Amino acid sequence: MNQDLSPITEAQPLLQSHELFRGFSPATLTWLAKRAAFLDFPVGALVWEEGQVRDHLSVVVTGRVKVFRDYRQPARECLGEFGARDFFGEMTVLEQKTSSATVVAVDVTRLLTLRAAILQELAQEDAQDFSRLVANLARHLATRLRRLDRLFLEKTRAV
Amino acid sequence: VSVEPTQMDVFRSLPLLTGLEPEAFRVLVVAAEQRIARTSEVIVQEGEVGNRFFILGRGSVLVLAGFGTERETPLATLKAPDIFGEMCLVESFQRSATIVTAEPVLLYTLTQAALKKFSEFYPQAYTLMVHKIALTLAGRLQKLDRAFAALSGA
Repeated sequence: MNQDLSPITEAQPLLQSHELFRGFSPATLTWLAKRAAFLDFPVGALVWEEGQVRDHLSVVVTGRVKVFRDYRQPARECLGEFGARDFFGEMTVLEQKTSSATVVAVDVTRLLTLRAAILQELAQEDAQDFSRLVANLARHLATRLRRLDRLFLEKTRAV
Repeated sequence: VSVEPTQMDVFRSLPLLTGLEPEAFRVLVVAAEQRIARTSEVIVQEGEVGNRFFILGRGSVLVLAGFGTERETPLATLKAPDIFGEMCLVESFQRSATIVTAEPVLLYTLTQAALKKFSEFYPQAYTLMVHKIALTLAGRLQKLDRAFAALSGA
C-alpha cells in the first residue's frame, strides 16, 4: 500500500462534486482537501479488515473494491462491490466501532480517505458543514434503504 | 387506574429527542400539531410526497405495501410512542408504504416547514436528531443485509 498526502488539486474537485459534501462552503472543502490522503492498493490487497476499528471514510477515486463478511472463512460472503465515486466507511462519521466486514481491492484502486479525527475536528471547526455531512449521509442511507426495502419485498413476494 | 401519558411524557420517551437542549425540546413540543384518527383511517399514502413527521401518542398503525391492491403486504405494526416519516427532517421523499390506523389513535405531527425553521434556530439539536436518524437507518440497513443473506441461503 502506498500512501501520499493529497495534492489539493486532486482532492478538491472530487470532494466538491460528491454527494456526501453537497452544500459545503468552499472554505470547508479546501480545509478537507488539505487534510485528505490518497491511498493506492494493488489487486488483492486488504483495504480494511473485519474487526478493525473503523477510522476512515473512503471514496473510490479509481478501481474497484469488494466487501466481504467472514473473508478468511471458506464460506465467505460478498456483500457488495464499490467503484469510482462510491464510498465506504461512512459510519465513521456517526460512531467509532469495529468494522463488520473486510474490504478487498479487486482492481488497482486509488482511494481518497478522511480520518475520523479530521471529521471530529470538522464538527468543531464548522458545525454547519458537519451537520450537512450528517444530513447528506442520512439521505444516502435512506435512499439505499428504500431501494433494498423494495428489492426485499419483491424477493419475499416471489418466494 | 391507567393514566394517559401527556404529550410531554410521549415526547420525553422518544430516543430521537433525548439529549436535546431543554429550549429546543420545548419548541418541538409546542410546534407539534395534534390529530385524532379513527380505526382504518389512512394517515400516509404510498407514493405521496412526505412532508410530515409523525409521533404516535396513543394506539397503533399498520404499515402496508400495495394497500388496497391484490399485492397488499403488511410490513409492520407501529405502536405508541413509535415515530414515522422522520426522514422529512432532511428531505422530501415519496412515501414507500401506506400507514393505516389499526385502532383509534392520537398523533402528533411536525411539518417539514416547522422542522426547517427549527434547524435554523437550533442547529446543534437538529444535527443531533439527524445523527440519530442516520444511526437508525444504518442499523435497519444492516438488518436488511442479514435478512437478504438469509433469504439467499434459504
